[in-house]
Amino acid sequence: MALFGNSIDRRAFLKLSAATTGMAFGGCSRAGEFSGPATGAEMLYRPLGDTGLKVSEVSFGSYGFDNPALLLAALDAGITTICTSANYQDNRAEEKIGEAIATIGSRRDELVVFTGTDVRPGTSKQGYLDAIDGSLRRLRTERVEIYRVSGISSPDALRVDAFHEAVHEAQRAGKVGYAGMSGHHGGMEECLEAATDDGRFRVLLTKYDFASYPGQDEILRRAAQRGLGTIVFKTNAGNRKKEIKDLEKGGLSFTQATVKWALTNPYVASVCVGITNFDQIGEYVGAAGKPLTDPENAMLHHYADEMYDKYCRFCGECEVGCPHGVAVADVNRYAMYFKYYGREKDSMHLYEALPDGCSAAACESCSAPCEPRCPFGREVRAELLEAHRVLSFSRA
Amino acid sequence: MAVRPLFWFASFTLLIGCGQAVDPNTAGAGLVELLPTAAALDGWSIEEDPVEYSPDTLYEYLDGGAPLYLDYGFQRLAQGRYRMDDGRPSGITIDIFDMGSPLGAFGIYASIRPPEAALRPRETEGYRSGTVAAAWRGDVYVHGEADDDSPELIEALERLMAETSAGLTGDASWPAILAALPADGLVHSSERFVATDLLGHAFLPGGILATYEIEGREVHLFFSDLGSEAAATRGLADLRAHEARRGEIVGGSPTFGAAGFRFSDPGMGTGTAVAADRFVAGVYGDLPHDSQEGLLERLVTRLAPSASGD
Repeated sequence: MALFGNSIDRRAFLKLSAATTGMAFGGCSRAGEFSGPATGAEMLYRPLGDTGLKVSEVSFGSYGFDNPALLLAALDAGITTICTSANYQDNRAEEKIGEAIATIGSRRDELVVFTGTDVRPGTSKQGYLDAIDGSLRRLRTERVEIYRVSGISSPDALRVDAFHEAVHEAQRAGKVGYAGMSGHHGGMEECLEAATDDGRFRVLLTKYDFASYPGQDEILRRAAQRGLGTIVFKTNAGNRKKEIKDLEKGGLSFTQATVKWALTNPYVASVCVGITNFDQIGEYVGAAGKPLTDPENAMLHHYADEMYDKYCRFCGECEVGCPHGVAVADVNRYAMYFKYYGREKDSMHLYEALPDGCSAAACESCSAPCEPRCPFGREVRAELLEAHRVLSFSRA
Repeated sequence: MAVRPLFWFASFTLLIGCGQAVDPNTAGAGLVELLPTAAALDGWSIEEDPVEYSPDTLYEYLDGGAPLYLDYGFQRLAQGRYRMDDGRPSGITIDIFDMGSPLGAFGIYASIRPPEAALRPRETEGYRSGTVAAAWRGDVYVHGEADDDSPELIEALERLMAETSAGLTGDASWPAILAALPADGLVHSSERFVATDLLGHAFLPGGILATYEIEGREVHLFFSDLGSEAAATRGLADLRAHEARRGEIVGGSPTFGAAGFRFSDPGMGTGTAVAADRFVAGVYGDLPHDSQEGLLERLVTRLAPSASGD
């Protein structure tokens, strides 16, 4: 569940997660022959929308993966859902998954394999068909359950006819089960809405955490009502190591807690996690089918509280209320470049290049109607004035 | 064979830690300056201002891939987008990564290099495979990708990569740690540096992987520097425990005695692992143990100070 709802109230978290924990398990089933011998834990499975597919609550994210033995161990632990892409290490991840698939015989039927490609301007239907065939060849399989268009950052990227025509043809040929989309950029809410309304996508893959994306719960609920299934990733809300290390001192696992938290949402079918070593398999599988405990809940609450107003998420919500048309997200991003990335000169040039009226100079005498619109309660006006001060220093 | 203490890799630990070396490419001029200007291609233009990414923002660009680059020591990325002036929508993306060290740049380069890729005859190592091209030199790794495989785009991709590669001035020699790999039977371009979790084991802090052809079949060699003899002994014990769980401990190794063991793994095939001074090394593949251990023995011998000449 999104932590704070539309108003993103800091205190809403504990109530929400406690209320939804019980809901999460209604549609689950337990493992078939996969019983988790490597971990002692037991994987649960959830329906993926109305596709008829069942996915493991934890999915195998394959970026950086290059040892088929690791995937086989994950399968033995019940992780039957595999997320990959032709883009991952320029095909290498698919090839290594293919090496594993080639050894498992009929167990392939128990897998749900996601792969896909970025939408690129000008790519023809045949280009996408070739991409699908290339993925199947590397994966050493005759079909993938989901073929997704990835790297989505605008609704327009969802409406590339050549992609849909290719997927449709591949579906008729039995090469692809369903079309999906994935993305993690700002503006994802708009993209998820558009994908839901499009009617051609059956699966959403999206970033989802307890400190961002306030409107996402409603979007996922609406998608579920239309029969779409959702798999989420990047559930660790920035994964700030320093803060996490302190919070884990009591023996808790932040990683497990974030996976459990995401799975409290009944509209989340699976959490995709990057798995690069054997130890992670046990840690992630240990989170499946388990309720979020009070100490874990408190840990996430503490983390979210600490991170709550620490950074601008560049969502642009506040820009709508600006009477001067200040490019708030851009200004804050340039200030970030200036302060943290050592790009002083560059950021000042970028700021200077903003169209007239988009700079933060107008904030000085403004009543700041932007601030109530910030979902995270940030002091937008003061931040913009500070950004203007450092970014326009050379003009002084 | 008795495994002798191995000390010649005095610089190994320094080298394996990414992010320390200074590359002339990045110490002075910025990465953006390494991007070819539009003048490099007639009829082309740079679509937008170059975009830069830091370790904190890399995830915005690489969907799920950022941790891998960070493991290899990623510092900064400058991205240029090139498009033909005739208005067609497809174009070319050139990414220039400062990986913080030659080993980091080589590591990420080799992690995606297809085994069959034909290397370009340039001082800066590079290749093109389909719509993707890559190169590395010094701290810098360059990745180029065309939106489609039309001849115009592929030709432009080659030219942009050549232009970018020509601007790289870092050390072109390979990381010294690769010299430990025996040359006989080494499959061309199969050498890799893995930054963390070698073979998926959290107790192995990264290391070298390479493929060999023996008796017409492929076997894989690996080694990892644990930093001390005691740590290597523990690492080998962890590996043995893992194989006992996941596969089978076949027995001791006649070649390495108590320093090693033989295993059979469902994903890796048969293999032998050994602790040698501060290293854990091993070999695995689809061959009998006896056929593989000669290769591992050669590796261990090359790790010895008397053999290295250092």
